[in-house]
Amino acid sequence: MEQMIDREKLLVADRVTFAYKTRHQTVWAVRDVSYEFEAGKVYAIVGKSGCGKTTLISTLAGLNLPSMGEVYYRGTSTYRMNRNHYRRDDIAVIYQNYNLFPLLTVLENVLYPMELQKKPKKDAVSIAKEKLLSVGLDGSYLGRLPAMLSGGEQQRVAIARALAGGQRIILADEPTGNLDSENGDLVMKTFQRLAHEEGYCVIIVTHDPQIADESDIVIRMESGRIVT
Amino acid sequence: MILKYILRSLRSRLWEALSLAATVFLCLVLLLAIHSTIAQRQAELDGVYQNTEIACVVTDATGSTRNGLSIPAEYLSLFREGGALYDHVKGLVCHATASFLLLGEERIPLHLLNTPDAVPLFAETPITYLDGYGDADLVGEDAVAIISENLMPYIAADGSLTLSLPPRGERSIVVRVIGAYSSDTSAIYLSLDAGRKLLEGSVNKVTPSALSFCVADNRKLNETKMALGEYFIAADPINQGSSRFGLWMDDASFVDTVMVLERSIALFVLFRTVLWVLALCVCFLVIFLLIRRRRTELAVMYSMGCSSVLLYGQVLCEVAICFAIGALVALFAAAAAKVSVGGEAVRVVGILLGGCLIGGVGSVTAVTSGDIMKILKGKE
Repeated sequence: MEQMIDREKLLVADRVTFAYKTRHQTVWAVRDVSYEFEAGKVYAIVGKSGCGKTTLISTLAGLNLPSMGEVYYRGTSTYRMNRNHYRRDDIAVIYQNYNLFPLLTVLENVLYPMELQKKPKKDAVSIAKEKLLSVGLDGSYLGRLPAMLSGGEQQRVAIARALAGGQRIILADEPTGNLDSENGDLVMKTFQRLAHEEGYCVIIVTHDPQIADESDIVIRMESGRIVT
Repeated sequence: MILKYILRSLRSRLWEALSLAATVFLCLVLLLAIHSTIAQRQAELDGVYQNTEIACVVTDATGSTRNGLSIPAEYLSLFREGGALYDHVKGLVCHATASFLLLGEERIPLHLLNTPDAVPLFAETPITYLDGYGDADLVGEDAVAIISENLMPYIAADGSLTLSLPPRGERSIVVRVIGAYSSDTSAIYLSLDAGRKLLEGSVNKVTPSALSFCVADNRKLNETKMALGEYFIAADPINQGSSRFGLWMDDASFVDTVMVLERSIALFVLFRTVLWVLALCVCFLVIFLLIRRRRTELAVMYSMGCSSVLLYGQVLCEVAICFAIGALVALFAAAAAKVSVGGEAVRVVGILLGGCLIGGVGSVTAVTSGDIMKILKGKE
């Protein structure tokens, strides 16, 4: 799909191609994907397993560099930026299996990104509590370890952690995959509120058609390409 | 919080931390033991080199005669400073005959020596030394002499004796008499160097009749043998008829002992090398397996923008703490078992620690170099 790409937009994929190479074969997971992601919208990337959704967001998140093409954040290519800083300050990722630190409490998990950003402790604690409240977790949760939380609560802690660092782009890889429908709805409503009321750019990879229906824009992928 | 996390991590993974500490403990104990054993063997070998006196005796070619030889006077020069054998030998023992001296009208047999041990007579007949004198006074250029008791009347009031060389007695020497021995026959035993000086240029020649010495540096035994081989042959009955002088060298026991010790040390050194390789491999493996169990955690930290310094630093801190626990216990155990824990122990600990830290760095790199997203999705 040909389109004019404005690289100054928030997050831009410009002819992104990614190949997994081994000694014996090369698999083209993402082929020539170009798209502009804007603030204030919820994007759902859908497609069959193996169509390249997760690989695409790993390049958007700066975890991998594209084999060809470039990813731009506010006009700067991920090839030319410090990707540690990019992941720390500009983009947050939420996972299907939550990936909380098992040895840190709820509060400490949410404090962690601000610890990396070297925010003052007092401010960080205040922000952490605010973000936890925004996802429906009150003060009684602060001292608990992740093992003492339900799946939905863990995912909400993960969302609070993603918000605490102040990053304006949230990538979520199958965030409701391990949740029941009630918790899934709760998570989706949170994403919608973040995008529509607070101007976040939320990009969700999902198999769930309901999630796709509730998103502002649905991007369908097939064999590594965007088809619609 | 990072420090708190490290301590909490160690506490919550106590068995894993202890397994690494135990691995370090075992490796260190074995390494310290073998290093200590090698050091002991080496000290033993050094002691053998240092303390063994390898005696060499000049004989006839067959080795049957050690006294009464007629060794050319030039041979003595080999053992003097600047001589070909000077650096190779020590403790020269020499008895030489040098024709006669005139004492008044009497012709007295003259012998030269640098120690009474060179003369078989003195093994049976002890020397009575005058006040303050002893064997050591025979070494050096001072003209001193030991005389038979029947020549005592010739001694001057000051203890000196004037001797002259035949045939005409125009060359004379005044010697200090330092001792006497009891004998039926008369003879004068003059210090070797003084005697050689007296006889320089004279028709009377110094003829060493017995010569023995020790190897100066046992570590250079082969070089010494080669140098001695220029002038002597190995004393052996099969040399019957040879005109060359033989040399009997008491090195068999020394050589055997050194060979046994050197072989033992070589074996231990080989074993030590193998042990080092094994120890490092085991430590690497344990560290890698422990870190691999935490790859999801490391991947989350990486995905959140944790710097490499922090990522590696946290893991290396944990490795270092576990190492320290294992090392301390190992050092205490070694000290209790009286295994040497000096500078060598510091080196061993340092190398193993370096290896473990490198293993930690390598393991983190290996674990985080995979597809981070797959790790985070739990698919790797």
